[in-house]
Amino acid sequence: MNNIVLLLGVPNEPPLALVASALHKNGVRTLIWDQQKVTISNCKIQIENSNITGILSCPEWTVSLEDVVGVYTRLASWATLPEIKELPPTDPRFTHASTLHLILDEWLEVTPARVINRTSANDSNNSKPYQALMIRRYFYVPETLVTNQPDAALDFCSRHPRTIYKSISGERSIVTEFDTQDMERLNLLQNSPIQLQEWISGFDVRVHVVGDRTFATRVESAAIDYRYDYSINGAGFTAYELPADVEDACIQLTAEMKLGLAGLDLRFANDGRIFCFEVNPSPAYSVFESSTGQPIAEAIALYLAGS
Amino acid sequence: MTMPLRTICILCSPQDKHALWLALQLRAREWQVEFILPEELLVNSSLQLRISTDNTESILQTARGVTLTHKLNGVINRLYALPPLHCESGSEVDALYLEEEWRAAFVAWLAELACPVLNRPTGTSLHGTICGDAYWRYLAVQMGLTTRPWFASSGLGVTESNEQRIQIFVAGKQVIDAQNILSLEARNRVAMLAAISQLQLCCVEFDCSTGEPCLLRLDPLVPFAAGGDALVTAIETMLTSP
Repeated sequence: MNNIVLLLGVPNEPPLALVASALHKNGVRTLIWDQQKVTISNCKIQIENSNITGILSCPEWTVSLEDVVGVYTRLASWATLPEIKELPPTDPRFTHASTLHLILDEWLEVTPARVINRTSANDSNNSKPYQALMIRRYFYVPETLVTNQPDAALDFCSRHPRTIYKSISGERSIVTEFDTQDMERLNLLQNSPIQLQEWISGFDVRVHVVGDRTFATRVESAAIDYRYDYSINGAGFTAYELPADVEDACIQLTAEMKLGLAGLDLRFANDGRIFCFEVNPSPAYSVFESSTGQPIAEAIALYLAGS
Repeated sequence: MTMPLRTICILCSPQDKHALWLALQLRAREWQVEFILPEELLVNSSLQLRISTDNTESILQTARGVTLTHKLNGVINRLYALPPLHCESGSEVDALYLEEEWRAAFVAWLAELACPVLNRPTGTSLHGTICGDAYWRYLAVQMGLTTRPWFASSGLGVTESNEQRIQIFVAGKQVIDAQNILSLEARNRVAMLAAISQLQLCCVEFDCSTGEPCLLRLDPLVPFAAGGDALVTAIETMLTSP
């Protein structure tokens, strides 16, 4: 068996399940490695010059890794898996899970297969201001201050009509508008820096880039962070047609980051400028696909199969 | 205090004897060397990093008054990890979040400092590019360098052979190979490998147990003394080059 697409993660997780379904519909040979079975799976890799061979096996199947042409990884942090998190680090199953994930990660970095996405390609998302330094070659980025100084934070906020704050790292946070109540907490900054940004008035567009294809979705929401829009109707999503130059910029930025799939958070400002807040290397695109009918999972499937 | 000319900063842990050795050598060559420890970055420091579409400004001041700005001549970055942080909440999750926030802030600050930074961080790694052994060997093969087979199994871990390790050093375009284990062509390839890996300063380990040097890995944390005067001179050149 060759020309296999390998899916790594928890099978019923929506982004993974949608791609599995699309691969099946397109007649692509697909194997799903259920990460929850890590303690009863095995992986071996050998690299000799440019020849990379190995196997991944679980109770249901064994695959020769050289037969794999595409990999979609939605691996969770293995230490948080229910099967692992209660185990002491000295437990052989804990060690096994750690080693297997390390080996898989090594393989994902070197395999000639198309991988969405390699760990190394996810790198920039671990520091948002660091990523902004790449983004600004293609898009506007908001004026940003990273600081642990209350006075500097206050001064920054006073220079902008509205200001938001969010995490600096890849850790998820809710984008929040800075207000008078926050001023009372500014003394806490000495212990932890904050990322402040000028508020950009306009509308949001999430762009999913898959290889050289794009799927843009306009987001309507009154919330500061539309992911946490708890209004009665919640955020609204409609397919959106990008200007050609913006589409090109999205594709080029994604390619520069060596990502096969990315979710770009754009804001089309009222003054005509287009800002990019973040490039997400592991986007949960399924929410956008189910709302708009855009065939994102199919595009991912075709990309992985080599189309 | 404002730093005079020929001033560099070494970011390192208090136990970093390699950094201390380099500082002594550079001071003997009339460089002013300022150590900044990871704890100093976190405790009562003052960080401001401003990023906009066409500009970046940053200033970092430690509690003892050392100011790090774009006026520095260079930074030797050996910031391997930040010290463990504790939260008032006592929550381990909060502490890890805090550590990630500081790390992400310093990554961006180091990435954009205008002076030479040896080495620049990556989004994940404060002290520069780090990869698994398989990836280093994969890259080495792409560059036409010799490697030894690498085998790993979830049952056995990574199989190590009896290696005779020899280190050479890359500093910019210079390769310091004191034992002359590499041909000129191989040295050039090693320099290219370091460059594409965005490591301006690194140690490259070879296994010479079978006669022909086989590349094992690149390491941004250089044991400077092993590179001797030639490495110090090469570092000086990098710090003074525009």
